[in-house]
Amino acid sequence: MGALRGMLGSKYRCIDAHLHVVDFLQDTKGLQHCLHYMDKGNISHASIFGLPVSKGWESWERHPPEYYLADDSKCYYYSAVDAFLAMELRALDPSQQARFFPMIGGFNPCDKFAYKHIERIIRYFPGIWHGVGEILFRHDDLTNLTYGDPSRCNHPAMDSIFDLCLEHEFPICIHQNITSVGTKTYPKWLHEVEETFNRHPKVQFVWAHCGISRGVYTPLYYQIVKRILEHYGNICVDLSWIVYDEFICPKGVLDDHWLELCEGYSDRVCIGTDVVNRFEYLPATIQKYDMFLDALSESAREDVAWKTAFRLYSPVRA
Amino acid sequence: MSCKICYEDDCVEIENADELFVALDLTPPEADGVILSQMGDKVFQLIRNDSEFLLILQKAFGTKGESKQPYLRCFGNNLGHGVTTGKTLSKALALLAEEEDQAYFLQTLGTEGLRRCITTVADIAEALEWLYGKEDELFLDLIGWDFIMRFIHSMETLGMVLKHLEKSEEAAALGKIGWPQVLDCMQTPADLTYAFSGLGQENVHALIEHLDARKLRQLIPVRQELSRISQRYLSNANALYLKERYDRLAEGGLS
Repeated sequence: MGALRGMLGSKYRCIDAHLHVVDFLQDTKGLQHCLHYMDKGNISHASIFGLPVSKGWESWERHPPEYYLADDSKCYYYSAVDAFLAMELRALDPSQQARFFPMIGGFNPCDKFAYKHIERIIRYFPGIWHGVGEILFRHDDLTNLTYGDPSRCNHPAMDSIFDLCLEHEFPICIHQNITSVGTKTYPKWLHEVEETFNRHPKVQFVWAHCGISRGVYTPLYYQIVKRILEHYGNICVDLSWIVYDEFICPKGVLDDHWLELCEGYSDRVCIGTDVVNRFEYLPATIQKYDMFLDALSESAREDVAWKTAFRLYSPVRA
Repeated sequence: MSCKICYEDDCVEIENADELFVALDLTPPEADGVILSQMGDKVFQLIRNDSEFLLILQKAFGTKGESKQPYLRCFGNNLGHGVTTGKTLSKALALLAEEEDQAYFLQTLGTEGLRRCITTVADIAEALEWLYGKEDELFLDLIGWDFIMRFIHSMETLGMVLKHLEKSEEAAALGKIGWPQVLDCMQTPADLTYAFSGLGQENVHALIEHLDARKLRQLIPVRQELSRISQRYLSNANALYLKERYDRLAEGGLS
């Protein structure tokens, strides 16, 4: 298969379970543009997030940053993103709207008033929300570049958010690295994840990227993910971003352990692109999973490509 | 508008610069030339503005240490369509980095293309920031000192240009501008400090030589300033030379 094949999209109908429709400057190319590339990629639906933080352009920088890692400028919480997302969605016709599962996420997860933001967003934009996320907790450099306390999934401010999720039956997609970039000998932050899952056993969590981020490594990783899935029935995982390239299919070779894990828990595994506003990458990014989907049984493939995400995200809940 | 490109077993239709970027990203760097050359003149139908030009430039120029001229040739004489501002000019020069590639880029844009990008002295200075050696000279020659001097009305603005030149080039540049015009840029004590701090000591000596009594009084109104300026900015030799000229030419008319 040639390198350009990806641009033609997946051979399987997929749901993108992890798509950001704004970038770190809070700009968007728009949902119509997104739909164009979803069609090219064979993506029927997408769970869509904003981004809870906006990258600043600080006085000392001559040139504007384009990404959160571009320079030392800080990021700050940007609640308007949810309103923008709602307005973008409302501009579509109903059949187009039905292809998106929008999620609320524009709040500071260390603020004990954060739940009020979700309540307000539901009040002012009712009838369109499918869940909450992607909430950015332990996230390597991004955490360090964001104003305020380092966010973590077991922060006391999150308890009221999780309770609200339960009340509305919202699934909540969380990004929490399993360990820090500088600690590769043990999963330093796994205990925070487990404390959260234990304390909120009825909340439907989706652990984004299975807790992996750029430069994050822990021993016994796949075994840990397997134990989490076995032990906590309320957890699903998405295989978006670099967890696929670095662990599931490193250097283009599928890992048998991960394959077996995903086959066994296919109804709790979904795939996503984690594209951040650059929708032209959707076809190639979703297509990279074809090799992985090829290797699954037909039933597991349907789950991972489509059914799990549809079950999790498709109902409008508030 | 779309353009078909093929690589190995696959062919795809490219509709815009974003998709071209994806294609270049998915294929190995050595395929960039193959892909861009298939597009021919259509490149600038897909790349419609400066930011799209820079997007492609950044991707196509990911090759380490190799000549980038094959890529530039793909843009042909249409380069000016994607390079229309000073910001784009300086970013492109930074991305090119290699002297030969920069020279090819500057010559392809030519006097007209380069001048169109420049609206302030900062545009000139930011371009010079990424040019070294002969390319400095090439750039300045292409835009021309007559054009440059339209933006220069003080030693601060002249210094923004001169500080990027090597010392040997600085003397040549001062020669081309001419001392009368340099002296016209010096109207305040602040201009004098910009000149003393920015120029090499040899050129400072030449400058002192051109300061007549009237100019010395204008730029150093009181004697106390002479020692402060000398101590901060001048070599011992130049400090002595300035003092000697000041004593001889200016002191008579000052209290």
